[in-house]
Amino acid sequence: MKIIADNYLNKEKLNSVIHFAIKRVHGEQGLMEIDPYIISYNARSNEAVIRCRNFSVNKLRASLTLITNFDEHAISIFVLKATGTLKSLKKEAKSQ
Amino acid sequence: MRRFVDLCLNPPLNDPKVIEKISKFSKLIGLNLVGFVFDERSSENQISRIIEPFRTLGIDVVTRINLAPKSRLELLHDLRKFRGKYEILSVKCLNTQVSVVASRDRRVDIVSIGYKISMFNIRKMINRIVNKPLEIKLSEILNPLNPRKFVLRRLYEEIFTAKKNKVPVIISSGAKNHLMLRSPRDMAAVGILLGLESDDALDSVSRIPYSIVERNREKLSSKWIAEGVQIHRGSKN
Repeated sequence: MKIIADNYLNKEKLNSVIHFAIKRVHGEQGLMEIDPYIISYNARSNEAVIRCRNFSVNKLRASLTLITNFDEHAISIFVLKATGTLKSLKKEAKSQ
Repeated sequence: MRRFVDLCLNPPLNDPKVIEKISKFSKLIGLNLVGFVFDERSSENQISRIIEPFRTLGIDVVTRINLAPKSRLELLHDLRKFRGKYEILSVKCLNTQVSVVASRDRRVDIVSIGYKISMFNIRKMINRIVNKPLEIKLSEILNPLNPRKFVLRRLYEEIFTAKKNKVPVIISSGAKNHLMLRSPRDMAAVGILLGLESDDALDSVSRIPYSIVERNREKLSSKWIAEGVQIHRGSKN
């Protein structure tokens, strides 16, 4: 996914952004179900790889779509690609 | 393979930087076709200047106008005026009188419901919409005029009533800048959140808007005479 924010984001802050977004839409239970985890984050290109449960991918997408600001800073998150496994994601990334 | 559409981009028309950023992001998130909202004062030159950056990136663009008439007569007047000029004509229904005419008139492509309408009237309006796609704009949730809870509740009610009456739903971003753009599958995920089935949600950002554009382009072409009647010129052999 790609992140556009008007301030600098590190991995910890991105984690709080994702947790905040999920909690706002789906609550604590949703956070537990989705179980998001940042696998990698490139602060230069503002691109991250997130792992979540397979059946709750639409919940994660909806939560990230509806976020517009965090800590009074504008933020926007786009999901660029969703794959079933990390292996296929790497394959996709190589082919592009 | 699905071709994804965002039928409502609404940036400031005289800001080329915003339009260029939107065009780049549209490419990045995988849109194949976008609908650009113009106003009645837009000239042919302005339209072609705005369309240019999208076309160079391989994204198809349709021209669109949003109408928000207050009465039946105003709607009919606007339809006569704009139908031949724009490829997509959307009507925001501000009262039940307008919604009845908009749902019956063939010249209307998409209907949407004004945010000030009460829950009772939303049900009444959607019950009268026949075969006209109902548009849900993501910008209403991202930049809400009322508290977000009420906006989500209203959109949920719209989708629930549309599903009950088998009214097709279209989801578009209504983006005013690149930060408000969302990828089509993300928009579909919001549709699922609001109560659409997953296939219907994907259709709402691909098949349904695409079919409207294709049908309208056919109608606006020089070949078109009437429903089922077209001119085909060719050699006698």
